[in-house]
Amino acid sequence: MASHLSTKDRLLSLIDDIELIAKEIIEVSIAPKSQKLSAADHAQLTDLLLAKDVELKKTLDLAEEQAKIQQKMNELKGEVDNKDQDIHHLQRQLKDAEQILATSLYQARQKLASIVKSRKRPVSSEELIKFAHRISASNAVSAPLSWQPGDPRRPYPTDLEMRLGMIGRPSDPPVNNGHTPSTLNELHRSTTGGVPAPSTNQFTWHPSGELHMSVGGGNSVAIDGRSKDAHTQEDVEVMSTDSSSSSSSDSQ
Amino acid sequence: MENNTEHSDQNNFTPLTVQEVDVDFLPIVYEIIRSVERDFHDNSAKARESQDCSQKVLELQKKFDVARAQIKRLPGIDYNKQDQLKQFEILKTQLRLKRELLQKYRNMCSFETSFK
Repeated sequence: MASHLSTKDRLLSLIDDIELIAKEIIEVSIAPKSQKLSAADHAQLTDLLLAKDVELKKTLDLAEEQAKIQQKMNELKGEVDNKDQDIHHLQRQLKDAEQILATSLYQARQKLASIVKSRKRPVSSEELIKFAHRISASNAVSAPLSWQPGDPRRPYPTDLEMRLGMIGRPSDPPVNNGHTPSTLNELHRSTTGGVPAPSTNQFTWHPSGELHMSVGGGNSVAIDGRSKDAHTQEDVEVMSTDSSSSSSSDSQ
Repeated sequence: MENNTEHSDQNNFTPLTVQEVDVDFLPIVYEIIRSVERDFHDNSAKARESQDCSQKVLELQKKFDVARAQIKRLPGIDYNKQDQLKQFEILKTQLRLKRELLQKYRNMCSFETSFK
């Protein structure tokens, strides 16, 4: 029965018992002779008091042992708390690592996807150089060194290219910017209405670095009327057929 | 007054050792019984002895109260020894598991942190 109680409760109940027995003994001692207990009862009470006292001392010894165990437990608890902190620290580091790995995995997957994409549709370096030359030849990257105000050659987009592009096509009212409407209309017709078949457009690459292109019909005439410089004319010719030629290169 | 209460509060929480607990009740009980049973011829001596006796009874009462308060301050006796040992084992197991977990984490794999 006593084993279920905590040591503290046992000690307190023992003190209660001792107090009760001591009071009883004192009361019996004070009481008149008629009410006094027999010697045997008195001895029994005294024995009980002594027994309780012995038990109290024993329980106090037990309490001392438990205090030692408690001290060890406190040390253990401190160590457990330390380990807890270590574990939390490690967990935080692992979480950081996971995040970094996840980001790099995502980036690597993107890179792999673009590698797969590029393998599916390989572009030859020759084609790339050809395209780069075409862009630079048409002053798409930078204006020519000899550029002067009024010179129609300039980096993209000029009004002309805007009109020839997808945005310019559906319904753009022609804006008079110093160009003659007749030449613009004609140009427009040449690319939208009377677009020559891609097979009729031919790029020829010469090792000298020049790009030549022959367009079917007399479509280049329209640009002729707008620009006076022969070199410029050639450039614009290339630009005007840009959309069709790029589509032909895409289809390869 | 406030200082006194603070002082007593502090006393109530600081742990005690078993040696500091005063449980010597028997000598006072013995003295009380002896003085009660002693026969006096002189009335004044009798009165003085009775006064001493009542004081000793009060002293005994106080000793009981003090002992109770001291026992409440003893560390590690909130459980019986069996339960306490069980808890001790639980703590040991916890510590072992945590050590193993840490070891596992450390030996898992090494990360190169140079990219940080």
